[in-house]
Amino acid sequence: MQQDVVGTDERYSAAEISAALDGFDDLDWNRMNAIARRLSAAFRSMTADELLSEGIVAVLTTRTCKRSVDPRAFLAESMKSIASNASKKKASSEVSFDPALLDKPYRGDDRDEGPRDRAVGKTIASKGIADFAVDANELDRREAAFELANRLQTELDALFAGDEEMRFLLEGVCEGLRGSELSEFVGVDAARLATLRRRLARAFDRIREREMAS
Amino acid sequence: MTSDPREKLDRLVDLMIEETLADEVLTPDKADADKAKSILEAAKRRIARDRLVAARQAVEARKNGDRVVSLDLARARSELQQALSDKSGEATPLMLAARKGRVLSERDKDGLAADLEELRKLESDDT
Repeated sequence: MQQDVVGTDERYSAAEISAALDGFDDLDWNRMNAIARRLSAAFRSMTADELLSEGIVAVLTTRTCKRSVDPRAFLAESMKSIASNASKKKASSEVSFDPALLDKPYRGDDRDEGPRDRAVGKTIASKGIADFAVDANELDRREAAFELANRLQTELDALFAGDEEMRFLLEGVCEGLRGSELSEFVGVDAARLATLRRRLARAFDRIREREMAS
Repeated sequence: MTSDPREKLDRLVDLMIEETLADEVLTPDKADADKAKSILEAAKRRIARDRLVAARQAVEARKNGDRVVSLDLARARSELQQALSDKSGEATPLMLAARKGRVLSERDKDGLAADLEELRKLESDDT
């Protein structure tokens, strides 16, 4: 599926997005590269260059963008979505389906209450093996996503061990606090909060450096 | 209070993106920017190549349809017309230039026609 060539009142056309990308200055591209590197560190599914390349292809072909959104943010969000989805796909391809999980053979129109699918809490008695394999993959993707998220949190916690401000910032961000609520929670003014937020963003670079060194 | 680590990951990544986009003290790096620009150009070439391949496949599909025409011209024409647009003029999901169910613009149609013409030339060059 392709994006509108002409665009609409509400959304950019592919040609307009292409022109916007052509108009990015060096600093814009530095930011895009930095985001790609940090996403690569967070999701561990693709390299930074792959993310940037796939993100560009997506914004020029399959994705559309409201005119209220900055094209730089559009490309960044596109890369985030690709990195996240790739990590899920990677997780599901790494674990094979185990038939032993099926403790009751599938029998066509069997409607008896069967074993519960622990991933989604549905009965599997009336399902085919293919359906259950899909559920197993979904379970696997969810577990992998949990593991990935926990690992990032652990690494950030370790990076900021002993730093009370950063630990409060991490906790506040994870709870969805922003702006004045966040600065109040951390106990700092807006200028200090901006510094801490920047440190948090740059912590992804340190995680990436550690990964590459190991 | 959220305990879902995926939600936390999402929020941390969102903040990272916001901060990076707004980072005013990022040090300019020309080599880094040039690398990104070369990735942009490569991506554009890839898109153009993919479109050409898709257009070529469309021509092949049409050729196959032409063979059916010799058996039933009226039906083949009707099927081709149906493939290009339905009665309301809306793009069908099978079309190369389909736009999530929206109506094809004249520019879309011109673009498709231009692609096909270009492919015809390529085909004749090959033979």
